[in-house]
Amino acid sequence: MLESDIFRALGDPTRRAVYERLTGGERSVTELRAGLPISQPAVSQHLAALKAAGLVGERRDGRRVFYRIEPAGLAPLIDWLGRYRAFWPERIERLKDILKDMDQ
Amino acid sequence: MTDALVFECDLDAPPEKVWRAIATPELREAWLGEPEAGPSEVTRAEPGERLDILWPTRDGETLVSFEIADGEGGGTHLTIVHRALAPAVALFRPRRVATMRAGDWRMAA
Repeated sequence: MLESDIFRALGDPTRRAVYERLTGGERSVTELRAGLPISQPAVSQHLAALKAAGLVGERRDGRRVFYRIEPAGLAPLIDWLGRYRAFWPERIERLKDILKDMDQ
Repeated sequence: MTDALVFECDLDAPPEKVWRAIATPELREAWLGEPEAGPSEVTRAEPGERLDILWPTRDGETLVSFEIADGEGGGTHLTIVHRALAPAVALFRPRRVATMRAGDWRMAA
């Protein structure tokens, strides 16, 4: 799985709505579907995509399945932010050096 | 949670010179280098004011915006906004995370 799948998985507005509902805690497909204008199979499909991207996990209890957020799924996003938090201050210092060397 | 970084700095050079350093490909590459995952691509250029470039990272496509404004004493106020493209943006609202002034920078709330 590519890490960029996270970006894609959260790109769909409905999928994002499903994901946001899970931030409130564990939910069944039926609970997730409530209030959304989509079918249960469609919700299941979105959940499958979120699972494939490592963003959502599931727990089985008999015949029922509950879905929850996988907090580690967002790690690549946080990695990106962490890398560039250090990157830009360093590049700005280089920009200052180049400005000194440039002709007016 | 955020998916955008915002840096601000005051540069001791006039805006038109800063624009050249950012917009001229050879000059830009000299201080910025190339992205970690493929070539960068300019998507928007408003001379003297704003340059947007696509910046591929190994975690996905990102966009960097350089915004140039007049600074104090003939200098330049530069704002760099680096954000993940579309997907995560609506989920995690951009937040000002860092401010850089006169050589040193600090995290903002």
